[in-house]
Amino acid sequence: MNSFFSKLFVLFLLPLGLFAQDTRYLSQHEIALNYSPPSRWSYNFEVTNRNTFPEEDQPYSVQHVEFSHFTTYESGFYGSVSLGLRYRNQDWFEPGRSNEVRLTQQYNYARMYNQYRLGHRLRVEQRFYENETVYRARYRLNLDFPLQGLRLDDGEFYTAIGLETLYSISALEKPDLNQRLTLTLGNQISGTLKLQIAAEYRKEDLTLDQENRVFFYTAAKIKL
Amino acid sequence: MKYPILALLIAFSCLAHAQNLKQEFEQGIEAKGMPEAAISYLQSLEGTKKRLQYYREQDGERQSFEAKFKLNGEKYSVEFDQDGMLEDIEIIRTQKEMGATLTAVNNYLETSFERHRIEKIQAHYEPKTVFNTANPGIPDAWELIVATKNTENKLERFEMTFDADGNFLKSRKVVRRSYEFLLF
Repeated sequence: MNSFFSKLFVLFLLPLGLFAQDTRYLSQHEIALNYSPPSRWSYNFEVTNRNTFPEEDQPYSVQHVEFSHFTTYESGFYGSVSLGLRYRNQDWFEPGRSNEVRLTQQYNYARMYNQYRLGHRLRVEQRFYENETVYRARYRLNLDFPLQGLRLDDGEFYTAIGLETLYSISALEKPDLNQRLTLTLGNQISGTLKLQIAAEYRKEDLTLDQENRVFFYTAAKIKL
Repeated sequence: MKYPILALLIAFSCLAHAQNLKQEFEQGIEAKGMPEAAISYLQSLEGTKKRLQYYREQDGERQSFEAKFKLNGEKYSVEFDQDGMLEDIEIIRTQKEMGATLTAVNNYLETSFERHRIEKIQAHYEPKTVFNTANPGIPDAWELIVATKNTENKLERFEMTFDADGNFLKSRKVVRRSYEFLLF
């Protein structure tokens, strides 16, 4: 009886779950330093901050700051492997939320087709929180091309379209399948500086009662 | 939060200024931006040109023009100087179409590099009074884009020129388009 009622209860609630899938808007700002000495190694350092947009019931708030590093080794003519370390602090802004240390292993394969470049990025991540560890696999297909002519020169715009699928598992939560669609517009201000804005739509797993999120990114990419 | 967006907008609006400082750029243009002599030369090439696109290239003080199109199923790239005088005609070829020349080219590449991969082949034709698109004949040179790995384990890309017989003439390092800005 008990089980019957619980099933009925779930069945009744299921359509409500769809309504609960409302959208949250967030903004994220990044400053990245990229260093590529004349060898097969390259290094990336990044500082990121994420904020919520003010809503009726919630004022503007900072969600976290992040410090990341990636070391990359060119493998083959078109591939590269990277190892990444990231520290995300949430506790400063919302005491009680666990900070995160993340390890990332990445393989990337990107080829040029005239002015177009198609990139495949495969990542495996271990996200260490205070009370749990989440394992995540993700694959991204990304197309980028200059918007003025065939080559990206100083002062010119470029764009990128990315589609990413993510799958998370952990001991405490159900597996989570996510989908992200990202549109990026950037400008190569000079040989050492690129500025980017991007919009990202994150479709969270339907089976979990989570809302979808839309991110607005601004990024400064500095080449050392 | 509004501040970074504002900064970005200001930076974007400074682009007009950045354009003035720019040394070298290349951009797509309309047919009316091409020199008349170039347009009339292109019209003299027989056959239907598909997907015709025009580009203007600025390299310091020097200006040149380029037309790219497909003709008889082959990809053409025709370059003109700033007055519209023909500089060269290039047609994309496959390794098979290079014939015996490929053997000579591969011999050179194998002795010079530990590993290599030919990414692009263009048959290069110098200006001549009549260019027969149906049968362009033996090219004056071959221009190749080659990805290489040298004995010091370094990966580099070159634009290499070989003569009609496959003898190496010159090479120029291709500046690699960075990817980190989209990768992390």
